[in-house]
Amino acid sequence: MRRQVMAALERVLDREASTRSAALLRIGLALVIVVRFGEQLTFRGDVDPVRLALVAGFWLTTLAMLVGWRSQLASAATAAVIMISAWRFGEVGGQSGWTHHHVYLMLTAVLCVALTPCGRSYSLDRWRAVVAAERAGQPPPPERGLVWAQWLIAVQLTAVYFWGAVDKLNPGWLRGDKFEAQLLSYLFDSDPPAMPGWRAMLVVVSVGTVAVELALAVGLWFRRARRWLIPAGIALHVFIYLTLPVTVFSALSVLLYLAYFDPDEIHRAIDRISGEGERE
Amino acid sequence: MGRRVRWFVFAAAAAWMLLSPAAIQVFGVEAPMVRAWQMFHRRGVGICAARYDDHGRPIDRYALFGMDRTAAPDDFRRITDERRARAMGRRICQKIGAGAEVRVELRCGERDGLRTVLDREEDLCAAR
Repeated sequence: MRRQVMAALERVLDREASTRSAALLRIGLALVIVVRFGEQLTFRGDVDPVRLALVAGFWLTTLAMLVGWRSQLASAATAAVIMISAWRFGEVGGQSGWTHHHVYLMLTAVLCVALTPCGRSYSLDRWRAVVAAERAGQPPPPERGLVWAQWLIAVQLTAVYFWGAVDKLNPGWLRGDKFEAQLLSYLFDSDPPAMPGWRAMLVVVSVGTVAVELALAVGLWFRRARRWLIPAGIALHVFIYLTLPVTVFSALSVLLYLAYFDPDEIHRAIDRISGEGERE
Repeated sequence: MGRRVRWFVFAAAAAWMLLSPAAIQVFGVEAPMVRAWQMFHRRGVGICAARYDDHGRPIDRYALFGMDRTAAPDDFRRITDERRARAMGRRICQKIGAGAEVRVELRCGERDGLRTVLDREEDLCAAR
């Protein structure tokens, strides 16, 4: 058993694999970050030197991360800017949006991406490397590297689902009461819908949410289960987005599903849909 | 990054991600550094679900007072405790007029869900 675990860890930690998934995660995360914070971090608003420095830093690092200019450094710098902003605006400034769960998840994912060679695919870094190789009469550098940190993103998302489900394993949630209270708070105020089967529907949705979360926590690690669980996860997140003010949490979680796939599998799939595989 | 460092970082980060929420969720420790993934945990506290009826017939408060949900004042839309639920009951009684028998099923949000506060046991019009 110990030998099997060690062999699996070696496959994860010491194996070089395609960097395309890491690059897609980098691009997707940069877009999610801009959507989430872009409106708040502008030169409009308080003339405060720290704030203005954070605004400038945010746009510089996030755009560099998006286009893949010094990709790993840009990703690490983006994480640093978000961390400082969360402290400055959230902890010190009392703006609750900066301390929400999705910001922590986003920050963790960006830190992990910064530990992968995420600039070796789909980036300005890649473009420059290819041009340099052509000039030297060499083949383009391989889109491969140690992508172990990408698996940490999957570990983090598993923890989100698992502990999110554990938190709901109580009579208040399983009776549908807690979910109904959240719906009252955000959608219905003090008048829940007068529809037949309302309470039964709340129980089904509440129990179903726990079941799906637990299934996602475990099943996303297995290739066969992903086929069914990813559509279920997307449906869950769309439902959450439509009922609760989760901002980018839904989009972020779905984007991070990419971290569960074998990077070489993603590489081959991209080759296949772009016709590259047929030419080889 | 060397192999040993890589293994150490992975093991430490994975252990922190997977196990640290237990400090709060299982052991109840106050740990500001730990993210317990208790999402929307405190939401829904301080709002009540109020179902009024007149002689058993459900009352649509908005239709009765000719209000639209988006335009209704906050204290009309959101009943937050028994006192406000009774006050709303009295307004409904006055609006319906003589012969009304208004009761309310009131459930109020607490940390673990909704607690039944009033269960139609009282004619709110008789309490005038």
